[in-house]
Amino acid sequence: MGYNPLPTFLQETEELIADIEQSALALSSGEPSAETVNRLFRAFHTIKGSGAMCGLESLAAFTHHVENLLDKVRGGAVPISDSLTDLILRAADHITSLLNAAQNGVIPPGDAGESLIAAVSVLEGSGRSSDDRHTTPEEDAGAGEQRTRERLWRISFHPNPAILANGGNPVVLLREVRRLGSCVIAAHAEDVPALDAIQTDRCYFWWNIELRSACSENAIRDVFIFVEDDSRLEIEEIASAVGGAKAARELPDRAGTILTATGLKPVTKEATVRVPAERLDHLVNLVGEFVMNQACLAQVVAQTGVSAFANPIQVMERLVAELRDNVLGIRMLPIGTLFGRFSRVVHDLSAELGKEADLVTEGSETEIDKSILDQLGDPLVHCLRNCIDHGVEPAAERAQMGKRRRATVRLKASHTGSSVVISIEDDGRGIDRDAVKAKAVEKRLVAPETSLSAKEIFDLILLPGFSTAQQVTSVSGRGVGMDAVKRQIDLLHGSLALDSIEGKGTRISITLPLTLAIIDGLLVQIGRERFIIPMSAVTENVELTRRERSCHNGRNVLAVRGELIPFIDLRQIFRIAGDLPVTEKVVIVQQGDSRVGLVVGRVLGTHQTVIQSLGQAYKNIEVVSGATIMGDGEVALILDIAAIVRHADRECQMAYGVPFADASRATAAGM
Amino acid sequence: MIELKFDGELSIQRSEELRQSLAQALARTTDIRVDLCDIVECDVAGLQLICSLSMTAVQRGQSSPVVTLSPAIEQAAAAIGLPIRELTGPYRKAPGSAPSRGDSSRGI
Repeated sequence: MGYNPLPTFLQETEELIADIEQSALALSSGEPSAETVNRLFRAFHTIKGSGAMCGLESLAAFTHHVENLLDKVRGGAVPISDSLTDLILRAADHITSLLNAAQNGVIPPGDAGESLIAAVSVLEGSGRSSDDRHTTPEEDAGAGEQRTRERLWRISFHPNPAILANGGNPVVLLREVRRLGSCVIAAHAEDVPALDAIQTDRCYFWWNIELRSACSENAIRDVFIFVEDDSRLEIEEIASAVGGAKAARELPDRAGTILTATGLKPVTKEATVRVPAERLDHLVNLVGEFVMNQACLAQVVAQTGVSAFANPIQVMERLVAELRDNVLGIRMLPIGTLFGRFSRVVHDLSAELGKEADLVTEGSETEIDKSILDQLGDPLVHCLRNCIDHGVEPAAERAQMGKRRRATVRLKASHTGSSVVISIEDDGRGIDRDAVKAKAVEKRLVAPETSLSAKEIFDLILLPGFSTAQQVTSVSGRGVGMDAVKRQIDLLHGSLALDSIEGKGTRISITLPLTLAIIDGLLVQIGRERFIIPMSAVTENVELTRRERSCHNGRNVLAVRGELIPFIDLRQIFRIAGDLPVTEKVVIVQQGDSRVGLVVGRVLGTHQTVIQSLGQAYKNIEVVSGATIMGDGEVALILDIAAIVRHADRECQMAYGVPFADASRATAAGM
Repeated sequence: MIELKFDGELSIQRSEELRQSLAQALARTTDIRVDLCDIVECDVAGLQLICSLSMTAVQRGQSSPVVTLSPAIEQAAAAIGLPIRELTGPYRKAPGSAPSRGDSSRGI
């Protein structure tokens, strides 16, 4: 049958709820502005209207109460307070649960709504006398300013021509306007085209309305709230209605000049198109195929040597690169879409744990690929939980130490080269290194006499099953925390680092690639096999002669300008047979804080790498993150640097009982 | 002269179909009478169509009334604040001539 508005409504409401949470928290953070209250009001109003349209009566009825309250806040009748914020947040939660109930076709829980409505009444009562508490939707338009004087409004309404086709009905809007007060409505038909030019589903009428009412401008705007974005709406107060009758009579002549002279800017909205994510993914895949095909074509042309093709191929290469960047650009989303919901997380957590903490976000505009963004929510929430649970001290303890009572958790994002760095920083108690080490000794992760550097101690925290919390709370402390975060970040080809100063705070830095779809890669060859090393990790290439290979007693370490760099022989890892060439290459890559060499046969050059997943059958292969199809149709594996280092570490642990880097250095130093 | 009569609803769903038949009729004559007395419901798209019809006929030289309206149409026009003369035409008159009223065109 027809179009079902419910999925769109659910999606929009989800966004509105996020917006409501942010606005509510902005209210409580001490910067209450009229615009914030307006935003809240509009969000609830939209949910109410769209909810009723989708047949979710209980949702509309509940939302109506909150909207009523907010209207009073807007009118100044109810003060902004922490309990208001709390109520709005709880209302948002209740709406979410009602929506979930609607989505799953179950009966929504009854009591929560009732108690919230009661709380709304209490708050409403706090600002007003009790006689005018209960209003109906019809009565409440502009109720906030009911007691003020009557005013004369001039409204000019040019609807979006598509309003009729979209199911809008100006008659309903005008009826709503009439409810606000006494008014003169004049429809203008001069834009209606001749019979052979008219598009019958477009709206050509526009309206001038003179409204005499005590209502606020917001109450008028609310009438047009669902059509305002696409229409031109100008509202102007002409004169106070008392003694303003004469002015009103003069109006029609001056209408044109008044309207153009008003300071009110027409409401415009950035034109956006909502596209399902899978269509974008499909587009990215197509571009990926296109990139591969182009590479194939270029290779064929290079081999056949037809010079006439050289130029067009070059132009095509440039266009394909531009197309690729643009398509990937579409999938880029500002990280702020994710940060938005964290204010709520911090607010709720600090309340739950009896701590006081504010979240400050920076770099919300930093863009990152949607596929990465989607998987970033849980790890970041986990980090924030750790910050508040372990890092932030209770307010009293902070005051004793001479710190601000309210802790600050900073969530920052920024671009560095082809990566995004996200850091979560708190000004709490920091990591107690001795406690970490004691715990590690207790868990037999390290020997008691081992001396560990700060970084090594922090790395212990990232090990599976590690937690120093004395008491397991519902928030964190079950030891599944940081290693789960690290694993998730590894999956995203990112890296994670901890840094902490005792008594001052802790910083968790997460470095992530910008995209996972197409990357710049370095194409290398070992024997007959080809591999891709992500270019973002590569720092330099050096030669490795057979003599150098053996000069450290066959140990895997290489001196590069005085620095000893451990290297991993990929030939061994992939068990590639064949004779060793006289000289091999070592591609030196950055992994975390250290540099590691990867021994390959030859370096073939850079390669635009379209990442293809290897599929279920190969999902247990740790050391590669995917594959790419080369111009000649052959497959090259993409190396997962972090996993290769881990693999080497394990092998080394088994052979020598120490991590790979240590083993290499120790043997080198001992020579 | 061509006389046309419509009844039922004058709504956005029907308006394109009506437009085509009106445009065909107007292509053949400069004197058209459209009886809308039996229209029981009319929406904004319907009102626009009547406006467009009257204006087009007047632009092509018709001086006699173009449409007769039903009470439902007049109510619909009143609801959106549209003067009846916009519906009945003459739409863009030469200066000086009196606008014809909806009432005067009744009963033709």
